[in-house]
Amino acid sequence: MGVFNGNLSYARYFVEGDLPEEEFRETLLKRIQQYAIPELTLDNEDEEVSGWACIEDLLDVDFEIEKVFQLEYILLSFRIDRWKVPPTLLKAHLLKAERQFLLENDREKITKRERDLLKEQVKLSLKKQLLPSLSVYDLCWHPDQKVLRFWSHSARVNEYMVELFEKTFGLSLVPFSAYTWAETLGLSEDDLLKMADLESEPYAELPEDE
Amino acid sequence: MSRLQRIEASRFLGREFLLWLWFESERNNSTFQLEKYGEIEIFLDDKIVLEPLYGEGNRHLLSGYDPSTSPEAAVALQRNKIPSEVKLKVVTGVKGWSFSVRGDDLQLRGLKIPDVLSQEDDDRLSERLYLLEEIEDIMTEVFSLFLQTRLNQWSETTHAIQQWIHDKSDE
Repeated sequence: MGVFNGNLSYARYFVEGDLPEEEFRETLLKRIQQYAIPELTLDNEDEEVSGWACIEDLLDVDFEIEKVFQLEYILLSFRIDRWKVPPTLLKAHLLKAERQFLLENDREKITKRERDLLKEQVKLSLKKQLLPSLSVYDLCWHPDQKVLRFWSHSARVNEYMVELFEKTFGLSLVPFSAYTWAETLGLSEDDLLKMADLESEPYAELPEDE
Repeated sequence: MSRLQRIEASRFLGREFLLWLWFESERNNSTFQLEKYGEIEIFLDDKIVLEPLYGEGNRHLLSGYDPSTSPEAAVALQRNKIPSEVKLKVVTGVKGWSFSVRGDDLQLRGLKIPDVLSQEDDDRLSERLYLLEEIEDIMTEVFSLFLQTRLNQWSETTHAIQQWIHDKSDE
């Protein structure tokens, strides 16, 4: 489900800050390329990586004007790749490795440090048999309207995307809310201040037994 | 007051907006008069969540056929609960949209737009995003109406809402 197909479930943001005036598309493209999703390798210390990918092909990180700039929008995918070793599988293999370790060393107990080391080795050997899991979320930015739509409501995913967006473009993303929506309606500063000072009314009698 | 403080201080207005939408929709036979779009219809669809604005209290999830007219909805309102999420249908002429809105962030969720007719990819994308922006624009005008009322005539509206809630017990 995203920009091109299906239901539309997205978070809206207002984009604040100045865009480059010269070579607008080329400059943005360079910045996007700089923050393209890196490869998640076995040697990588992180369990996950995130970055931009092309919206019409999640494996494509070779950004070009026509892939990113469509109609009056900037279209991108925000991708998160992570190693997902199933915990049950890890536990079973760790138990097996521990037994083997005790047998080989003619011991009855294993120290915590030895277990941690074994766990890392087991995890690495399991990772070699797995592919990283990929999560992809569409993003549609209208630079003239200064509005960005992002196809996820997950707080964690939104936080990651906002961080990457701000790093990539040097712009701020302001989440949609009653107040930020009102700011776009041309209200006076007095009215905005008044809005923030409002209090709720009791719309019904409070029940006695609740 | 910083901008962040203003955002948090006025967050409750999202839920009041949903309450006002419900009240106005029932009072005006679902019609709203907008400057740009003329007469439009807004219906509460098949889901309402009601909870107290502040403090403890049960959350009521009402779904199925027309939950806004159910006795459960009336009871929840009478217990000072207001909608925290509603599913809405918006109709202008032959076009209709449906979506859920939560009062806390006012984002449109699960938005269904009118059928896209174009076959070419570029045209489809353009039509899809046009329809998406159109409903956002409509809701912006509706929200603006609410804010004008909330900032300038809320005392009268509060009384009318209180009466409406009271009258629901007699229905």
